[in-house]
Amino acid sequence: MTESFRTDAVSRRTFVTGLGAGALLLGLPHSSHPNSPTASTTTLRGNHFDLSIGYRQVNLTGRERQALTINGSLPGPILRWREGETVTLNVHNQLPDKSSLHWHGVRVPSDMDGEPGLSFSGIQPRKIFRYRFPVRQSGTYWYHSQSGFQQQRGLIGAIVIDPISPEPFSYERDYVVVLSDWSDESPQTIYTHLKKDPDYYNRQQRTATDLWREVRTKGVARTWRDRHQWNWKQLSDRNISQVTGETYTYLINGHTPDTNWTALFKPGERVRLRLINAASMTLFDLRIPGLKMKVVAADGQNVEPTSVDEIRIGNGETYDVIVEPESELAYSIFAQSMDRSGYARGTLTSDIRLSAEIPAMDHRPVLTLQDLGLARKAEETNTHFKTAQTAHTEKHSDLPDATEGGWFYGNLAAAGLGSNSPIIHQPSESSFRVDHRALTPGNGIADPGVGLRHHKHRYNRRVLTYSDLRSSKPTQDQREPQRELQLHLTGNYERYLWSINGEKFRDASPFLFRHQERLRITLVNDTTLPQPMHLHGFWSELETGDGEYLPRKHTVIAQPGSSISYLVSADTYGRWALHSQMLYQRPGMYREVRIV
Amino acid sequence: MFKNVAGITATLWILAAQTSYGQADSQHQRHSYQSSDEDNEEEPMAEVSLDYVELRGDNGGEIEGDFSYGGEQNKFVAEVDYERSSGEIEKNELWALYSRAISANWNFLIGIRHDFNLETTSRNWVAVGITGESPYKFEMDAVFFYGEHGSTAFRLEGEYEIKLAQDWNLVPRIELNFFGQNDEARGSGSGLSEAEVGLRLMYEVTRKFSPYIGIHYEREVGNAADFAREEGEDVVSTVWVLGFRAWF
Repeated sequence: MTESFRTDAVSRRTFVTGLGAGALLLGLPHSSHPNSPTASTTTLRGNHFDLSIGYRQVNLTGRERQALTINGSLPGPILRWREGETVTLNVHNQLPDKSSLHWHGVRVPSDMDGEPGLSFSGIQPRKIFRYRFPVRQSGTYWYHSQSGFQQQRGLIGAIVIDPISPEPFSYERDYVVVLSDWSDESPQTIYTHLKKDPDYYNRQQRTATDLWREVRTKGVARTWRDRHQWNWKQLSDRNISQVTGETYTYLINGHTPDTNWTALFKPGERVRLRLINAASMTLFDLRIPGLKMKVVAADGQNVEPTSVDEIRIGNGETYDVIVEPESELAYSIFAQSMDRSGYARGTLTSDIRLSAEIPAMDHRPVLTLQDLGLARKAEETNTHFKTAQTAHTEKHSDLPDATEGGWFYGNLAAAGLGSNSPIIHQPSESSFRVDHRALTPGNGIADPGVGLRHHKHRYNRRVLTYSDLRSSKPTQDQREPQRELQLHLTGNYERYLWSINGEKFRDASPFLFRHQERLRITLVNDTTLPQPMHLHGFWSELETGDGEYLPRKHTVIAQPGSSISYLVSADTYGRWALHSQMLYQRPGMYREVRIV
Repeated sequence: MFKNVAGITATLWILAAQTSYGQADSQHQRHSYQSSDEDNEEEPMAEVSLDYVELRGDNGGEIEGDFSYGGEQNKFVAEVDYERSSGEIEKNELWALYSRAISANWNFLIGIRHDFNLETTSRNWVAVGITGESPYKFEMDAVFFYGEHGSTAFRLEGEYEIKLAQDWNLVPRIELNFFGQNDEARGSGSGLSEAEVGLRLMYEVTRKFSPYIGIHYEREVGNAADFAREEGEDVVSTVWVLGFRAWF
């Protein structure tokens, strides 16, 4: 299956890159002109924090808008904790509505998780909620509001946890890079637009010109065959991002591309960048032209260092990379949105006066049959999974038994290999909420994702994939999974309805996990959009092939039309959430996980 | 009569403007700050679609649009269909429907259609049908009508959107009207009575507003054609149209 691209890379409209000089940069007291070293947002250290959720006028695009802020800053202050300490956070909600803060990726007791409706009832207007929990991990995480669409308006911030024991890598500089998407439209307006016209922000729709071009290059018969798969299912191969640069301005640490967040280094220094995707609806493809990025941690957890040129960061994910700029030059930190409708940009420089060229955006991706879930062959070529797959086809009698609700018992594939269970679409999937089901989904573990599949060939860039991730520490829980839960991520794009197994949150009962059980969760993405799925409370130990060194993640991108598996040790009682990190899909694509 | 429909359209417009804009803007703070346990509640949504608002070359015109209000599966739909050609009112309908999503791409409709007094008396119909999108993305409406004194009718409408460029659409459209009986007074005949075919070129000034130009072809068929000939009216007409499509 080859991936096709549109050749016209330049958009008719360009997205808003910001204000030029003189933007209001909140929480960044020393930064007002484009090339000042805007090292980072305020950092709060210690084990006692007073945070205040409020609002403030900002001007990021030339128009005054109200943003939600934490201690007056957008994004909120960096919280710097120490592993082993107990932190207390008094969060004062000064909004006229309920709010909350969720510590994304931090393992806390259920009642400290900040999930309204599950762990608590939210922070009432003008009330203070005291979070208090022991910090039992280290690395890069983030926090955000889980109330309504508050995250979109700016309630986001970074968490950096210093480890007790020394890290297995060293560096001289340490910067947090928070990526986000800002819109002058209210989140409710964006949601209403999507509900009424899901293509509202898509300026890259298929046109008659595309068809003409395909007929000329592929001929009528082949074009007809290729188009048929999409036309018959009433789906489009141009639905890459739902909310795009049409309305979004992409930010790094609250800076627009024009106000250019800038970080300094001295040649020869090693610079650690803590990349956090705190966006509401944007997957970013980040690279620093001229520099290799050594990935040392994923979702806060250390991995065997691996050098790459480009990383796709799903919303909710974090990566720690170390770069070693040798020369006295400036480098662009360039993070394109997945659909290439815009970018976030910052600068890494040895001299404040220097900034680097902003690269052109890459080719716009077009979905393929693989993204429709018709790519079983692609799976067989993946060596990690060949074993499981062959076993599956050869010994039918040994197939795991499925019971109601997508649970499988017995004869499960060994830990690390991923699922070998048959793909079973639940009866609830034949609902008006579901417009498509992936029939032969491949395993998405080695897939760099839509638009990145041929970057080696096209741009000579090495793109990080999940299969490159190998934990730097052995897997803690060495048990085999006792059972497996297969979840289908479902939706109806035209009606803009999102669900899991065809059931929206309010209609569905919670998934019950037994306390201390070791289980496998397999996500089957029946939509044609990548779904970054976040499991609260537990590590999602991604099955990248080697069961001995499973990377621990909290947010996992399920590629369109693909499946992906991770292991979970259900070691903490309580009520937890498993949901899409795509903000406007979250209300439906959301489930409760209860540990009993 | 025109005032009648215009009045209804204006009312729908205002009604929807209040509901949808109220939601989106003046109260956006309330909504956007809301917490997620409430967020997961199904929030009803209001929408006005003006599909065709146009003038036609033969001193005619059309207003076709609807107001809908409801949740994810069930909606209330009020629809207006007004059509006039050669100075004569052809359609003057107000619908009130219950719409229910029955599959990924189809909705079931049931309700009433009221035809305002044309040259004779006003009529009421019970309407039952489906609306949705077929494979290959054809927008379809198929509605069966059962009227007073056992009269029956069936209307089939289809529309397709050809995207010429990001903001240019070419929209072919077809409408077929069938009747179960002859009705000489209204000029409709049993079987296929009337066929309309149109082609419109639309420019999206914004996603919500597209002015267009196009041509509209209309033909009486079978008995209806005979009735028209007897009256000395044209059986076939081809006219230019100028109008806009909008939603909010």
